[in-house]
Amino acid sequence: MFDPKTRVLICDDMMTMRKIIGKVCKELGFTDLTEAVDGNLGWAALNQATPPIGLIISDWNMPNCTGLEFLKKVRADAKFSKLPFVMVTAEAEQHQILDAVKSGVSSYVTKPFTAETLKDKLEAVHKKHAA
Amino acid sequence: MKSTLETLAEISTGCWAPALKNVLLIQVGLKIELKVTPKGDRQRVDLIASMPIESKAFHGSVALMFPEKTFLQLSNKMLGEDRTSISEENIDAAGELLNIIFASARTTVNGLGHDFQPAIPTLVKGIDSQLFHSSAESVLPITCLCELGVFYWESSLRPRKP
Repeated sequence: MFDPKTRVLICDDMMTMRKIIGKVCKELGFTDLTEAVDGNLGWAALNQATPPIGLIISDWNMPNCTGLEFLKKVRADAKFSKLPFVMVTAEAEQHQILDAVKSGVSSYVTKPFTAETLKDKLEAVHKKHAA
Repeated sequence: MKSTLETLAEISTGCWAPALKNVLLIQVGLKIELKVTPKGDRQRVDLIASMPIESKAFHGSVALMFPEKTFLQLSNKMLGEDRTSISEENIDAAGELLNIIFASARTTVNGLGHDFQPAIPTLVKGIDSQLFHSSAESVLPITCLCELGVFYWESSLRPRKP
């Protein structure tokens, strides 16, 4: 699993979902959580964070800059091209999942989800990125 | 050709109802039972989350409606909190639940040949909040019963003018 000291960026326009994801992250042992309400603010947080962000968990549908646009920005920057990026979204249409995979998403969680599901996905992402 | 009410009943039974049960079970850990709300048999609601339905054939809306007590228990369970009033800190739980229910049902709805578009929830908070429908709309109110109390789901459709 990820080092519990890993700084996690939770990006979602809905406070409820940021709280739910934050709660699961705390249950998994993470203590350093940063929040943003859209991809633009997520991008700013990513670039300003000290210590650096080690994991991004982002919603897809957000105003101003969507999760997919945020993912593309992150992957286009050599500094962040290998950064674990998990998309959490209510949209589960096949073409959207394909778009996210093609754009370099590390994993994809569909709402509704349990804490167990998110935990399993994060463990799989950690294994993939550690390999 | 199906009437608007028949279409609404088909979508409610085949799409909204399974999505409601699944989302409440997985995201909140609540088992719910659903029944059509008899006319005049609705408790006062204090919070409404609604979303417009737009497709080539129909306009309409879906809504989740909560008495304050049920919403507080439900959002506290969902968020692991202990709040005693509806506030900025918990109100968007209603919108997020509606968003997840709508998004998970939309794929099934569109599998029936519709083209319901993504939408954004709107929240209305107030004592005895009401959702108004035009007389041209078919409306199907559903009562949701769970261990935390009662809340309501309401969907409506009206044919788009040619």
